[in-house]
Amino acid sequence: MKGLVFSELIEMVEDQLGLDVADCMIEGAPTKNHGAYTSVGTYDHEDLIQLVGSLSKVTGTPAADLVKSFGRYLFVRLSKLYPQFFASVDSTLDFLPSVENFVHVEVLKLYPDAELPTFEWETDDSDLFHMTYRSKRPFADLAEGMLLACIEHFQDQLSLTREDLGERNGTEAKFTLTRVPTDAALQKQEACPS
Amino acid sequence: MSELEIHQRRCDRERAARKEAEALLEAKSREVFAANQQLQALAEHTRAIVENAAEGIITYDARGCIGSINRSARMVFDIKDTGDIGNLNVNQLLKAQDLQCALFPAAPADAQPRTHDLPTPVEVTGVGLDNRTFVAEISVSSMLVGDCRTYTAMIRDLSQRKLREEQLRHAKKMESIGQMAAGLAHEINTPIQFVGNNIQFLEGAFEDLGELLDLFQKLKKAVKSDADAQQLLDEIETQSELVDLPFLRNEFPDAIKQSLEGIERVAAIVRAMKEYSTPSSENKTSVDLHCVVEAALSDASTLCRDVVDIETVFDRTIPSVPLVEAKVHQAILHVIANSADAIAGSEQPGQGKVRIATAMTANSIELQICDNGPGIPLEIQDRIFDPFFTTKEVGQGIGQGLAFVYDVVVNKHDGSIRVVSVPGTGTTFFLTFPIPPQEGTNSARRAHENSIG
Repeated sequence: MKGLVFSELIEMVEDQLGLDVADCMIEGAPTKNHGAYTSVGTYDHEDLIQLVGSLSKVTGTPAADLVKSFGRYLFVRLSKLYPQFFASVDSTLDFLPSVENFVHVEVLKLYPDAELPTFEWETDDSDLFHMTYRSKRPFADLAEGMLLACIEHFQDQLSLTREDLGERNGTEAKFTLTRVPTDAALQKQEACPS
Repeated sequence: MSELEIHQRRCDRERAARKEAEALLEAKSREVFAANQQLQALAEHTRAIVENAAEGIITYDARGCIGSINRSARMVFDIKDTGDIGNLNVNQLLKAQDLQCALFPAAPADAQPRTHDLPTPVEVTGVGLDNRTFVAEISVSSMLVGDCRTYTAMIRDLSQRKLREEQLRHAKKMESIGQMAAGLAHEINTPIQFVGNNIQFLEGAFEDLGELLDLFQKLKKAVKSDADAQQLLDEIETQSELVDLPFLRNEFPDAIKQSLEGIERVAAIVRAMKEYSTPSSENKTSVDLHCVVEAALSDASTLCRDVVDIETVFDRTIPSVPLVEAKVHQAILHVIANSADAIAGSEQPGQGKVRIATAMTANSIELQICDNGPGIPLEIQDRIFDPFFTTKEVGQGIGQGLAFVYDVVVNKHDGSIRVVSVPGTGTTFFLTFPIPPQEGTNSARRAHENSIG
């Protein structure tokens, strides 16, 4: 897993919870690098799980919630660090298909040995969209947090639901995005029922 | 835990992360350096291949402005100063009728190269900077480099090849002329030989007859003067026995006949030579080719009897076309005769077959004459239309038949002739006569009308 994820986690904890909590998180996790992560490095994803586990003990917050919050934070950071991926899209439904087809392709150019999750995108109709997350690592919570942040980023009227698949251990999940009718659309429907 | 200790540990972690980042950066730099080295080596290798290629390679843009020109091309076009390249346009170096089509081939619809898009070589005239002109062959391909289309021309100077081809053509011509002369000499020598022999015989015999005639003169005088003729009669008797008068009486007509035949044969050879060398002035008339074929078959019936079975498959929708009927008749007869002769000389002459078919193409009519004879040996197939080329024994043919056929079809009718022959299987002649445009239109209309229900 790229060091960027680790360095951003530590920065998030330092910013939002304080240096002492971050220090406790690191000291309490039996990581290989003892908390020294560079964003351009590559580290074992187990270290991240250890850090999250340690943070959960320190804060008393469930690990899944922490990871989801981190997902929201990470999306915002990535949108600032890599604006080129958002340049030609203006909605969640435009951006999400490009993650697999464009963003990950560009990542692999710089880091050919990166092991990235895969996203399958499909739609049944114009109001329902499915995105299936698959990874060797159990970070469906992270993906969920990033999806929620994405919807907020583009200010879309979409609701998000999640269905765990496979071994239901966070390595495989199906996210469903549904258009939420706006107030104006609801009023119009009430005025002119078909 | 004091704040200072927390900050100290944070600082230590940051320092460790920085050092790791520096190590990664150094490793990445080495990687990039190695990759650059490889790329440079590859570029140098590619450049060396292009620069030292045996063929000339020129690249240019859509306006013809030359971007690069390799050593071979510089030598061919006598470009000594590579600094001149920027001012050069490919149109200065090459001339041809459809040069623009050759230099700027249309790009394929998609970017994927396909095998059938390989460039077709085109012959052009090269013009060097020293104003030397030469025959060249170019193959042009194009590619997109960014948004710009770049053309690459492979250029080959054909001067040496053309010279060798011309020398070969000349040598073949000389060989052909030599063979023709040898054939003619053989053909003429034989009849001249026996004409000479017969004349010599007649000369010798006349000397003998002369004495006898003198005796008859004396006998005539003696009878008129009532002198004693008995001695003269005895001498006439003796002389007649000496010269073998009955023998001479029998042989003289044959000798004269053979001499006349020999002279006629020489005259026929001379006429054939004249026919071959003189352009025809006969006018063409609109003729149904099938009628000509049938007439030729009728003339060939004796030749073909007991040797070949003839089968005809005619396309009766073929229009009449302008033909010199007598010449075409003769040409067809020659081809059929050749087939019959070939089959007759083969192992199973009784099973010979000749199939004659007609067909129409877009703008011509085709006559196919196909036999199941022994075929034409591969080593002589490219010479069968040479005048006086023959595989027959002396006296059995002077090698004019197929040369005549070629002359009639190609030179006198602007047609074409093609032969497909597989030794042991048979030979097919394809004689093609062009259809004048109006005839073609009429034929298409007739075919359409015939097809209407």
